[in-house]
Amino acid sequence: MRRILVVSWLPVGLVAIWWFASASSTSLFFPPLRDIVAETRRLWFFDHLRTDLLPSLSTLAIGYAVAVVAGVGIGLVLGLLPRILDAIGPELEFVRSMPAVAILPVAVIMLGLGDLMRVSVIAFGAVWPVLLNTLAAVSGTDPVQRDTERAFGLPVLVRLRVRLGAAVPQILAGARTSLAIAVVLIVVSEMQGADRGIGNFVLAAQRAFAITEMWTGMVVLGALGYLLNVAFRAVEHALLRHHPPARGGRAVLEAR
Amino acid sequence: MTTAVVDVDDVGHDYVSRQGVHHVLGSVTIRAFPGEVVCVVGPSGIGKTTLLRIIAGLQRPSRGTVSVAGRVLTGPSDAVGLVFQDYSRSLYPWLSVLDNVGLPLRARLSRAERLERSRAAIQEVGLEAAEGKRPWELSGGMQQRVAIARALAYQPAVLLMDEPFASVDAQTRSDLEDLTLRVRDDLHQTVVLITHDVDEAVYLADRIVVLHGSPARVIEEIPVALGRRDQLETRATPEFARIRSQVHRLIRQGSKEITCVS
Repeated sequence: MRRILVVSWLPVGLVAIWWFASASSTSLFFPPLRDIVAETRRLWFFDHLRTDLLPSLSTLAIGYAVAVVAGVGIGLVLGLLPRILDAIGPELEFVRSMPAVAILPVAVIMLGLGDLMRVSVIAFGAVWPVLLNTLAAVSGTDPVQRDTERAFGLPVLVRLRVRLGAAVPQILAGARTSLAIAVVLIVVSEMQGADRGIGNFVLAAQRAFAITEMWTGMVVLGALGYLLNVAFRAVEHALLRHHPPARGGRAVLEAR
Repeated sequence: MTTAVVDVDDVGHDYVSRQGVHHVLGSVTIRAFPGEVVCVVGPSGIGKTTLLRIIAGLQRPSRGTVSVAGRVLTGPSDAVGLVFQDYSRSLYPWLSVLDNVGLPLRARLSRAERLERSRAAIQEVGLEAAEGKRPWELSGGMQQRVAIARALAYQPAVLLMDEPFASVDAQTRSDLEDLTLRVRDDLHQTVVLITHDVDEAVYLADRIVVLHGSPARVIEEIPVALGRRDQLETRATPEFARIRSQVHRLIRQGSKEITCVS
């Protein structure tokens, strides 16, 4: 109970301030929070949830899944085969340094305006943190661990499993960053010629001067980000339950 | 005469670096016979770790050969069970004690056999109650027991230990020393232990091999006949003190010799 109070006083306070400060607002651009909340309920429960949010979420999920699987797979291979890494390292750096948002026009030309384009852009943009963290974890394997693997003659598949096991905390740290990037990219990619999705909804509302509607998009996106983070933390907790507790960051987050 | 389980025959090793060739091991010959505890001592930086890696098959010697259980090593061998000094880095923190011990047996044995052997090894080191725990939930001494159990489950011809008790407290160290001797008695296990701790070497060894010089060579082999060991009584015997000071003298004498040569 005390904890709930400690954690929630600031957000509750800020919302209260917004609520009362905007209550008598007549500005077209800053509608009262009361109106935004009412509009959110009317629009998003459940019409636009079905027509805009769910399509966005499924595209996001597919793109993110591709990014994580490809990132872990490629990172693992490159980490275990330094010769391949040496060969394609510079190319990797080149491609990696391109902002995913910047390849959007290229992706539209190559893949059109459909979901394939969006999934590809998300996968391309979100793959890097997972890939690089996996690569760093696997190629930076402790020499004592390498000796252990060799001394006990662990077969290749068992080696792969223990390397992957040891890399899980770092992979998750990368996956968290990737998730944030994926959310940005779904919104941005839906602002490019989409006929649905939350990005399209926000842009269309803004262009139609439906400012209150536009604000409801912000509320929904904020809630979405929050919920995704909660879900991610649950997954992380489950995957790390056998790992030694990390000092600092994670303990603080887990305290909630 | 029985044949040696471990036969380090005239092994020499050089490192080539930018500064030139560094001769680490000159000509080292060490034999360990079945059921024997052989302790290799020498000052730090002498090349003990290099020697250990060579006996473990992790490194090929520049000259000479190592045979374990009658076969010349060309790489890590099933016949060697290795216990690292740094248990916290050699165990897998997210695997349970049972899984850590059983890991090297994967793909070699069926699940049932693997569990049986792992459990037997865990029992040998007295960790039955902790088999479901993760290494990071255990004390340092218990983690080193897990590492010993892992090496034993492998049923190696020789248990090869690298400063195994260097990073635990004194009480735990005594316990682990007695554990090592009990394992030797129970399983008739041959043990080769590398250490810089003279007292530990005298307490554990049937034979002490003293390394010295640069490049390192064996300057003396001392048989230790102290009978059944007891942490309090053995260390108080005149024989213990005599061997202890003999080893210390050898190490010091060795260093004088080096000073004269160079």
